[in-house]
Order: sequence, then C-alpha cells, then structure tokens
Amino acid sequence: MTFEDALERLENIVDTLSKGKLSLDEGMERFEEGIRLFRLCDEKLRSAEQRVSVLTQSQEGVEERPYDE
Amino acid sequence: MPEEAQKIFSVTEVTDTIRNLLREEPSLIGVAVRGELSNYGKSAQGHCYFTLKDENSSLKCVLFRGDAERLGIDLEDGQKIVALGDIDVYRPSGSYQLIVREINIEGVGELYLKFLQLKKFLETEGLFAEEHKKPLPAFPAKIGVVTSAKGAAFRDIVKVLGRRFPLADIILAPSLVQGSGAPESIVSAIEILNRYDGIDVMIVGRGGGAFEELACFNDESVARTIFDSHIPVVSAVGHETDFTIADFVADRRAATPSAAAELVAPDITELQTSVDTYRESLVWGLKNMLESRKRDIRRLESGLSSDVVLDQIRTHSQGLDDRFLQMSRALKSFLSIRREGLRKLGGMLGTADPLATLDRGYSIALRLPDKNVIETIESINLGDDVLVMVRDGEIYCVVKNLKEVERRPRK
Repeated sequence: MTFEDALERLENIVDTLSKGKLSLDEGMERFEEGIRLFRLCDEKLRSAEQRVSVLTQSQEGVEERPYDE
Repeated sequence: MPEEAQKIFSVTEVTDTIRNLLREEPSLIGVAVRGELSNYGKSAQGHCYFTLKDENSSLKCVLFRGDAERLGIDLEDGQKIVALGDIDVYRPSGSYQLIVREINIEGVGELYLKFLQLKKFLETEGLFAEEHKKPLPAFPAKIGVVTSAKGAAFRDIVKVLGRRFPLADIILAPSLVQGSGAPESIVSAIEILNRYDGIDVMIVGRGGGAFEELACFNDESVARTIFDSHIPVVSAVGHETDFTIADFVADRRAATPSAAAELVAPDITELQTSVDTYRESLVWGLKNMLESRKRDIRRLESGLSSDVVLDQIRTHSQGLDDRFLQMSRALKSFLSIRREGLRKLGGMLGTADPLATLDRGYSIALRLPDKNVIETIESINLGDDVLVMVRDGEIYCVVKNLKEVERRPRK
C-alpha cells in the first residue's frame, strides 16, 4: 500500500468514526484498521531514505546508477 | 633564474601599466559602441552594469549613477543600443570595461525580438492555455529532473527535497543547459523521463544566467516537448525575474530550482503532524462513539417500562458492556501513553466536538423524538418534547412558548 493510499484511507476512517454512526463492532474494526494505517504511515515517514540516481544513455539503452556528488 | 636578471612586478604595477595603455589609446577615448544590451543590473548604489554583445564578442559596461540619472532612460535586456564612453580597467578584477556617458537606444535586439515572436506564435497556437496544464501529484514517489549534472541547480533541488520530502526518489536525466546542442539535449532528456517507469513529475531548469545563456529554454523544440510531455513539468529557469518560453508552456513555473523542489513535494513535517492528529482523532472518535452508545442504553432503560423489554435490553446491554469494557481497556492503554498529547488535542478538537461545548457550560437542545438539534424556532412547535443536554445529564422539557429574537448577525 502506498503512503498516499494509506493516508487517504486513514483520513476516511477518522471521518466515519467521528460521525459516530457505526455499530460497536464496526467502530472497533475501523479503529483497529486506523491504528494499523497510522503505524504504516508513521513508519514510512520515519524511515524514508531518499535515493538519488542518474540516467545514462548507452547503446544498450538507458541505465540508472546512483548519483555521486 | 637570478633575481637581478629579471625585474619582478607586483600585480598592481602590471595592472596599472595596462590601465595606462588603454586609457591613453586615442581610439578608446570617447568611443561609440553598438551592441545588444544583456545581463542588465543595478547595484545598491544606483550604478548600472550590463554587457554589450554582438555575434562574436561581449563588452562589460558600467553607467554610474550620476550619468544614469542624467540620461533618465529605462534600460532592459535585449535592447539594441549605441553607448558612448571611455575604456578603463577596473583594477580589483583586472578587467576592462566601458565607462558609459551617453546611450542611444536603437531598438529591440534581434535575440529578444525572436523571443517575442516565438512567444506570440506559440501562444496563438494555444500551447500556454490553462486547459492544457496538468495538475501536480500530491505525493510523488519519483521526481525526475532535467538539468546539468554539475550545476548548482541539481544540488539545490536534492538539498531541498532531502529536507522536505525524503520519501520520493530523485532521478536526474542529465542535459546540457547552455550553448549549442542544449535544446536537443533537453528535448532528449524530457523524452527519456517520459519513457522511463513511474516518474510522477519532473523539474526542468537551470540556475540564473544572462538572457543568451537561457536561450535553450526559449527554443521552440524544447517548448513543444514540454507541451507533449505526459508527465507534469515544472519549469525552474534562472532567477525570480527571468521568464522563458519554457516557463509559459510548463504546467507550473517556479522562480528558481529550489522553489521548484518545494512546489513538487509536500513538507514531511506537516505530514507527520497530520498523521499524528489522525491518530488522536481515532482515539477520540472511538471514545465518543462508546459514550454515545452508553447514552442510548440509558435512554432506552429510562424510556421503557415493560419488564420483558427491559429484560431484553439488560441482556443486550450486558453484552454491550462487555464489549465496552474490552474496548475501554484497549483505549486506556492508548490513553495512558498519549495522555499528554491528548490533553493538548482535546483543546484543539474542542471546537469540532459538540459535546465539548457542554463542558464549557453551554447546553444543546434536541427535538424529540428524532433528536435533531434545534437551531431555529422554525424547526419546533408548541407542545413538542425537547431534550436539553447539559454537562452532567439531560433535561426533558415541553415547549410552552416560541418567540423570535433578533440576534447580532454572525460573521
């Protein structure tokens, strides 16, 4: 699941839950899913490590290698 | 070699010799020079600096404040002018320059004229139209960059994105960004990124430079390639004041490469804050839901008297209570960790949670039996039952009178 999808789903759950129209079971389920999504987003944000690469063109086509300053 | 055989000069001595030679050369005194004005700038002291160019050469010029004020003309890049003055050497940089005393503007320079013509032409064709502008993705996973691998522009972009949005990968398709061959190189790099897998958005640009150095971004083939790109393009050419054809045709224009990096990605600290807020809201949402179910049960208990029904409800509510207990425990473990954060958030959410207004001493009136919030006297009739929620309980009322009252208009 991408960060974008997770964040959107999380936003959705928070919205439904705060409207308070769910049954207890549904509410609990959403809550648990929401917490899972939160952990996913949180981890992605904290562990993000940027990759910087350069494309070079040769006879064989385009090749990607790490960018070196 | 022995010192006595060779006299050694200081830099200043050599510079002065050159300076005197140039200053005394009759053909360089009161000389009139025709060229295209470029690189125009004004210093804080009010002196004007620019370069005069023709196809093969360039000449540095300075117009001191007093002369600039006396002439009272507006100079800008691209103008074709004749400047009259004396050649002198500026000793700190050891460079010669024309000290301008008079200027005659002959017209718009050829390069600039071409730029205006192409701009007009492409604009008429609709390449700059708003309807063709593609929106930028909110969370790019791969950001393409077309610029020189050696330039400051790419380093700036990497620096800003590293701080702002390290989630995205950066992929450079290196290209020439000035001189002959630059337009073809830029076109090819944009096309490579378009064929490459998964690029969400691209930045095309370079750092600042003179008008003619930015010429490749005023090239028609570059403009058409940007237009044809199926990946959104953010142009980032030069400084705040430099506008190129690429800027007009790009989906978004950024004033500088750094600004482009800010434009293509969100800020991770803001994201972290909203993710944290969602977590708090989850906990609050669940808590509110549990409390509202609890209130439902109490209401049912007090509203019904039949033993059978009451019994059913009690059984039912016992199950609910078990579930409630279970959830409360889950919630408590959360709350104990996040109590401090929650307290802060409580204040933040206070405005969004109608029940919080009760804690501040307000009450909420609901029409019975449908429990719609009564916002206006239109929605209630004489004799209707009304439930008033207050901080520590509920008051059941009957409407005895209705009266319209003029309130201050709300902002």
